[in-house]
Amino acid sequence: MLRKVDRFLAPVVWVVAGLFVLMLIIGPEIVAEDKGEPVSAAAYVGGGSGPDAKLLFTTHCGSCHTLSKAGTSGTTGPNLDDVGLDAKQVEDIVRSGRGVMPSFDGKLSDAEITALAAYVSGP
Amino acid sequence: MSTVAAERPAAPRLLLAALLGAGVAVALGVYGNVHDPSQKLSFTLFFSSTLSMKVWLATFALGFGVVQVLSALSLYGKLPFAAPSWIGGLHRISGRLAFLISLPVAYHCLWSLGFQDTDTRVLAHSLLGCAFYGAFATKVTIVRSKGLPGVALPVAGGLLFALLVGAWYTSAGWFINDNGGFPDF
Repeated sequence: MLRKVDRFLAPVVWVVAGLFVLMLIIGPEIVAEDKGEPVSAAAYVGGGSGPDAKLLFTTHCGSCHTLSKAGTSGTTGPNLDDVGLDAKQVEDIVRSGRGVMPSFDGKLSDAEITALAAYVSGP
Repeated sequence: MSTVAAERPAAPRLLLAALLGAGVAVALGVYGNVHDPSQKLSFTLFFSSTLSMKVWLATFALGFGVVQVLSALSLYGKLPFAAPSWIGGLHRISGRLAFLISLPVAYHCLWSLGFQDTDTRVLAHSLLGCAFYGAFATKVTIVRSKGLPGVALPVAGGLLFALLVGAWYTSAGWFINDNGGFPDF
């Protein structure tokens, strides 16, 4: 029995390992979430009045966080409808990262992070 | 042919295995660093969330790693009972499964998050994760080589398990400790 399982698994491991490497290389080309041009910083600006925080949120945060006003339903991170953080707390987390959440310091501008924090903590 | 292979000096082949592992580890680290993390990729397989998937699969991989160590100890006669005939099969299968179920976790780490150094834990996890796959490549190379010193395989296996424990402790272990338990399945 174990021998049969082992014989089955042996090629499976190599095939999956090969697919792993292949998907690391060509994955962004074929997975829908990564298709298309990245959203440029200019696209965040709505009507010249500053960063579009909702767009920032849906682009960078929504796949991991639920936030009803942004219409996102990610489940990797905490549900932001329930956490009750103030803007300063959100900004600190966005800048430094927490747990598996990466830091966005340097990836988003100060204005974008501030706008995002205000949006998440706001009504 | 096999006699010639057996007569080859062991040191260069051990060095080659180590270099291969180092190459794999460095390649993964470079990929994670150069690749622009999408921070979008979200897959759960059959778990309730990506985070749950990563914590549980990493823990299952660690469990199979423990089986690897115990079965290896049995094979080397280091346990106080005779190795059953099926222990070799169990050892191979547990190793294959540990590697297989670690891949979705590594894939999400590498693609969605990338190599990070935002704090000591995250840096340690990034380094340990890359080193784990490097050590795996080295161990597989040693397993498939003949005529190497007998100590090479246990050392490679022990190092591989130590790296798995380290990678788990700085990710799933940290999450479990920080959040008071496992996430929902």
